[in-house]
Amino acid sequence: MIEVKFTLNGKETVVAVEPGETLLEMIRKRLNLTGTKRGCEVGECGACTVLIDGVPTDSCLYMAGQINGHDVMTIEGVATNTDLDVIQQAFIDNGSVQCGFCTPGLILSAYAFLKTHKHPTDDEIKRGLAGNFCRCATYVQVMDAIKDAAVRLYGEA
Amino acid sequence: MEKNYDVIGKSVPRSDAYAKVTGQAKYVADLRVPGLTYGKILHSPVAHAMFTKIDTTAAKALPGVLDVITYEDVPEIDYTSCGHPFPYDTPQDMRILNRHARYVGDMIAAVVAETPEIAAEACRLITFEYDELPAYFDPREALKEGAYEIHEGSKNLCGENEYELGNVEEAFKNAKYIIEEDFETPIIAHAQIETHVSMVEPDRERGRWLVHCSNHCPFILRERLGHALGMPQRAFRVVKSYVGGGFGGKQEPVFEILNTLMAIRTKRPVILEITREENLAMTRTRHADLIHIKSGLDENFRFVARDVEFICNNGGYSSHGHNVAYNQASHVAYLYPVENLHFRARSVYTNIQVAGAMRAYGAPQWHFAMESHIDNICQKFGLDRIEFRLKNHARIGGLFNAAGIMLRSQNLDDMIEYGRKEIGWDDFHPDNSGPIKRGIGMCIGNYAQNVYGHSVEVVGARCIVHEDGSATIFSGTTEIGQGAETTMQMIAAETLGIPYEWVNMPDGSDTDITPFDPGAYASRQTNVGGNAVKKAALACKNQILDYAAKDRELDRDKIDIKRGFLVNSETGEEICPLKDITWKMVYSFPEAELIEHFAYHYPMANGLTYLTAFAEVEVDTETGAVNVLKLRQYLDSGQIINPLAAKGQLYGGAMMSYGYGLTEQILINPKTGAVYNDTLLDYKIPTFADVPDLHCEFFSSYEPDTAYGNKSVGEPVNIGAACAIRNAVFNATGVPINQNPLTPERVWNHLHPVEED
Repeated sequence: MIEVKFTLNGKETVVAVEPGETLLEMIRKRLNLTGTKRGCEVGECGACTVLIDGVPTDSCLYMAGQINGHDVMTIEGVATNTDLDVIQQAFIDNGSVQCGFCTPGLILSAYAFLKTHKHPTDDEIKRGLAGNFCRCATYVQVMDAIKDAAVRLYGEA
Repeated sequence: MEKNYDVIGKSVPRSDAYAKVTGQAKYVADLRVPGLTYGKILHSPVAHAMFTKIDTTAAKALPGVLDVITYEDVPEIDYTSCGHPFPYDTPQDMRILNRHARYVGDMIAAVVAETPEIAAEACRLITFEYDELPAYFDPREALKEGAYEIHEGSKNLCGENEYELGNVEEAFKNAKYIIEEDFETPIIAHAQIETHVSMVEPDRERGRWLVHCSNHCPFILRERLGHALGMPQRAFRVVKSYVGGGFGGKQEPVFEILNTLMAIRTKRPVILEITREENLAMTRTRHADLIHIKSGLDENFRFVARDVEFICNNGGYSSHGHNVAYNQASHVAYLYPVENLHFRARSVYTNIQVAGAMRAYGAPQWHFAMESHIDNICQKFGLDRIEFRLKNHARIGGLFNAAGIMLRSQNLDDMIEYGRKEIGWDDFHPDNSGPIKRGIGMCIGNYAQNVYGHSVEVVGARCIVHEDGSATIFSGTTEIGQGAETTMQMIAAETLGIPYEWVNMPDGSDTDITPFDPGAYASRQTNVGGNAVKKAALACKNQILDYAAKDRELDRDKIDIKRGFLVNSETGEEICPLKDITWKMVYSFPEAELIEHFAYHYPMANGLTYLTAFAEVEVDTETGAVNVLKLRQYLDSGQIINPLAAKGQLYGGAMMSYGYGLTEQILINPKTGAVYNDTLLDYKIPTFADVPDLHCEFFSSYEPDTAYGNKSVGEPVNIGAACAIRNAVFNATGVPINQNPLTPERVWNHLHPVEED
């Protein structure tokens, strides 16, 4: 077992992990944070997206043993206390959720995207979120949510 | 028909949105129970074989292995996984595990172990021998005289039907023009982002099994469990968690029965989580169809005769069997009615992955063929593509008895006119002198509301009004991501006359608690389930009004409930808060009343939702690449209950159809029958990067005999885009492509045909 120490949703966390364990497995099984979803386990669909030091990352492709010293945010860490983050509220208000399975990954990617895109265009959103697949294909409504959240955060362009 | 509603037609966020955006929503794989064990399946590596020997000694000896099950251990009961309610209309042709493997991926053995890794290792330790049998991947080969029977005595026919209206032969003799063409559609994967998953727990105290599923049809699953396991149905309690995408693929128990057998044998909770590769190659698909259409037209280019033949590639087992073709049998009659019609369809067993239900149940195939056929006709005779459709499509008053359809509402012509202006149809004169050519195309389509006319149709609902005037509803209506639960709450709120926020509905279906519902299919939930909820809520409302009239000495005919108040129904004046009445009903001594009613609904009619789609594309004739510049889809689905949720279906369905038109197809190795593209890298579902300039709108009409004038949404939205894009490519290039998807390779090959000697 390998002991790793890292920040998880703002809290110092120490966990012992197996050498072959992925970050996805550690988060879901060891830490029981089930908002991070398993979709393909080979980095294709983006359902398992988490933020590592603010960067959207497929947790199925990341070895848990490598997480030492990093900062990890999962969907459970996006809302502060009881308040939803702006992007979460925008997803609710714009009808951007259907079956919901890809939603955590989409929200984390959108959360990171909005840090660097204050007035995003449709093309920027399409490129920026292209790694998160949604089979309900709620893409237009997710674009609406991201643009809505950008306005709520940064005002009109 | 405009109605003045308080709740219906006003957008509300779906009732599970908070749980889903915070990661709190529990899908099956998120459930945690003590002592959970893991199932794994051993699949046949060959397309068609009789297994002669299977050795599980090494697998059983592996530490951590709890059970190894093979085809020798399963009940000798034939069943079909088809999720259809009684009557059984498909061949019962499979076992839980099969000695006679009928496709690459057929289930021959399974392991239960303490960890997923041990279960996978144990599967690798199982050794076997088999005699290979002749395998067919093309239904035309399987149908040949003397072909080996994949199911004994079947002649490789899973199902077949044929009918004739009028006198087709005579009508063709008198037809002015006859056009005959062939079309071909691909195998399509549901590709839900949540793969198939279930978890079964023993209930030791009651001697029952609790089946947690991600399935459209919990009640039918319960029935199938009893049948396939040879046990009383009461042994099973089926609970549906959140469903991470269904699209028809989870409309039948593909793995739940095997999972339950694992739990029964080990007496341990077992989870069976399917991998991405298994999900794409070894579950269910949309049928690949070969479609032959022969049309006879009179001198005014009206249809006078039609002869249609379908050959549907059904794969190794029946699944939904011939029922998808039965739906196609209806469709050929009611988009463009014709007096003389001959239809024949054969669903054919082959040695590939099993075809079953997929969103719009045979309609995408038929519409692709027919809407392409119409554009081919128009091109040939120099006809206006829109005028031809306006001249030939069915009008209000149409009766299609075979399908139980009465066409009583339609707003198609307005939508076509709107789309024509929106896409710039009449002013489209592109400069196509260079290698990049632009084109526009359109299509129309329709889809039914339920399965009335074909199969069992009944749903129950229970409504409780609490003493404070709020309500709880129980409905079997299965939430699979489409927003059905929110819709039911809105219908209850509107009917009761209380705010939407006052109505609660427990998440998920539970066969011990929720009233019966066959499941989420046929776009039937709002139509059938909505009527049941309305009836139960109306009974509660009437009880309250009866009490109020008596208690307060009011004219029963002049009171109503609106916005949570008892009101004068003529003036709208508020008499008192609803709570003043309901509280007294419950808390009176000695005579008290409880306000709770159950109702069920079975429809006695079926109607048609209409759609039209328009596309503008550019085609790179040097590479074959198609770029969709504009995509528009309009839907006449009656009164929309929740526009916010329906919009997600309308746009999402258009994008899924875009994939059908351009990028998606399961490819089969012609030598082995194995699926080539069993990953999401190679099976191309539309991603964000594919989203074109897309705009969709609803056009309302009012459908009688529904809760609030509503019509279907979930499936009709998945029909149009593929056809409109195909026709736009034809318009751009002048080359008809009668096969989808229009991949660059296929387009290029059609633009550069090999010269025949």
